[in-house]
Amino acid sequence: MNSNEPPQVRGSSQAPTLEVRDLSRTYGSGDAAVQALRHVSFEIAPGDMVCIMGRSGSGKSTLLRQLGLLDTPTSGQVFLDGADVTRIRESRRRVLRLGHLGYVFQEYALLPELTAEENVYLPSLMTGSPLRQSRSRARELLAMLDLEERARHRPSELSGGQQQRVAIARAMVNRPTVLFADEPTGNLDTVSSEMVMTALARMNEELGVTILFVSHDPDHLRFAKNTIILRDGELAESAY
Amino acid sequence: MAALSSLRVAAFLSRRAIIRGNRGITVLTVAMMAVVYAELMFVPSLIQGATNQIQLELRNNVTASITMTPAGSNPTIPDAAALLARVRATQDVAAATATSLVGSQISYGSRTNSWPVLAIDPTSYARTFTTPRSMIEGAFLDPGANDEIVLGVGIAGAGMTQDSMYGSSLQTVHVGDHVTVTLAGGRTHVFTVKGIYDTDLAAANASAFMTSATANQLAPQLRGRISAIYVKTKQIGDEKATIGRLRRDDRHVKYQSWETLSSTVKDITGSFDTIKSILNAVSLFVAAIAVFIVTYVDLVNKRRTIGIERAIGISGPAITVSYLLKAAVFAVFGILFGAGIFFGGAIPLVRHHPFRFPIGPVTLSVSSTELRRDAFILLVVAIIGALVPAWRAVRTRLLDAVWR
Repeated sequence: MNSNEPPQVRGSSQAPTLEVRDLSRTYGSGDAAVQALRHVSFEIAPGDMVCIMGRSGSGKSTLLRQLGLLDTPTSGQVFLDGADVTRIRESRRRVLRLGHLGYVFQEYALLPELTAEENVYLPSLMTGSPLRQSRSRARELLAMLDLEERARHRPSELSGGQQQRVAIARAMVNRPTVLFADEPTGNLDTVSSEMVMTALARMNEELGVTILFVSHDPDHLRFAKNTIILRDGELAESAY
Repeated sequence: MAALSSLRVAAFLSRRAIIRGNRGITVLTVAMMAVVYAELMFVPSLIQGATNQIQLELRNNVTASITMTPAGSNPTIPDAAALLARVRATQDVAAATATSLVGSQISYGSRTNSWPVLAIDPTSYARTFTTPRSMIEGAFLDPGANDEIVLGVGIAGAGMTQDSMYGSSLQTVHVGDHVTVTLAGGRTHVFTVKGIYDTDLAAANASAFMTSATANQLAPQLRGRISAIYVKTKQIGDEKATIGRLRRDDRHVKYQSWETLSSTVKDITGSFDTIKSILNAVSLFVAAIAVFIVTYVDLVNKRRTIGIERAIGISGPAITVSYLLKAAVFAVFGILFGAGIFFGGAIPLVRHHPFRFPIGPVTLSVSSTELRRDAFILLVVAIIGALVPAWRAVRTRLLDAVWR
């Protein structure tokens, strides 16, 4: 396929939530340069749930970091709801990460000194939302993810699967447009993986958030509405 | 609004970190701040105690609270008896005494040197000064003593020939020995040494005293010729007000408080102040380094946590301020514990077991101004110590912070 022409991952007449044009990311320079992404282009429609698959080192996580505004691509463009967010200032990127994008890391990434509930509502406090309102929203999300009983527990008192669901709740607290999950089940057993993937699917179905998740597990394709497959940093295939 | 949110999140994060963070680190940091604060106060208060002791010795043996001397070229205070009576009747005056300079040279055997020889009224002198209570040999003058003299150890030497401080003294004079005094007008007279005094202030140990009665007998031309009046006030610190009450239209008298006259010890206290400033600067530098290290180690361990906070949209200032607030809270608790150690431990201990300095027993003396100033400086130093590593931590590349 011609990677310069962005394929629409899901057939839709709606304007894309996310658009990637000719995106490349190279780490290092000279002989040590590693091209992690090569001219990747695609569009993601609102409400989609996309699984990014590929072998280790194929550029899945690198792609997600560019889209999640945690890194800056070497070339190419990323559009969020039509606005070019590729090279905006860090302060603006942070505001977008806070309000429009949610990110779930592979290794739980909860703050150890906060309870599950506090971890969830922390980003909400940052937006200026009143504590009562933030806490209520956090409880609502935790209940939705069957974690209301664990709200006052700290991460060290939660299982891996519970921690990852708390991380999903945190990513959802500010009602983002897009949620990115970088191998969210990478460290979990089968039962926990299933619960986490179900939680993501519920977020997508019930709250309408667009989700891009990275996974190695072909079984997770059943949760995805569409798939992007990367090979050696290039878009190998997109399917729906 | 954004700044307010950042501050709110900073307070939220720091509160949780203090309450739920590593207890060992919290206790050690607070203990370290407490020790630094106690140390910060200890040396300056010791130096202040020494300065106070010098000033006390000066008042007790040399200047009293107020010294009245002749103004202009007149060597004596005119109508001194009436003036002395008026001074004694003045509010706030505890005691007053007059002295006359009646001689300037004392000889013993082959050794001769110049020292002031003063005629005094032993009773009022003992009320105004504590010198009569500093006898190391014999006793002070009785009001009716004749042909008797009291010498400072700086004049008598009292056998302390090995001490270089007494090199210019008469060296071996003891109670009962006879010394020859050259009186004003050139007449000499032999006196029996009644006593030898030794105050804690070396400068005060170089005077000789005889009674006014003896002086009037030996040098009648000096009768009533008062060279100084010393006034002891009831309260220290009120000297200016007392001088205001004492001063009338008497242009012939110069009034000076002990503070004005303490220029002789200003070099010493000035040096003490310099030492105090150097030690303060060193202590604060140590405190800053300590806070820097504690915060730095804390932040190294929390590099990924900080990266995640930034990744989920927490602002750099919110994260930085959370560490500053944490450092400030540790500093405040450290200051409180340090003050507890200082006031509950060091001060009572030193009060019961004062340091023995050449100037006498020295206790700790700290002013509330210094206390507040040191607390404020330590707080600022702690915040600055935390600012550098915190600021650096939030400037690390997000990728490096979270994934490397």
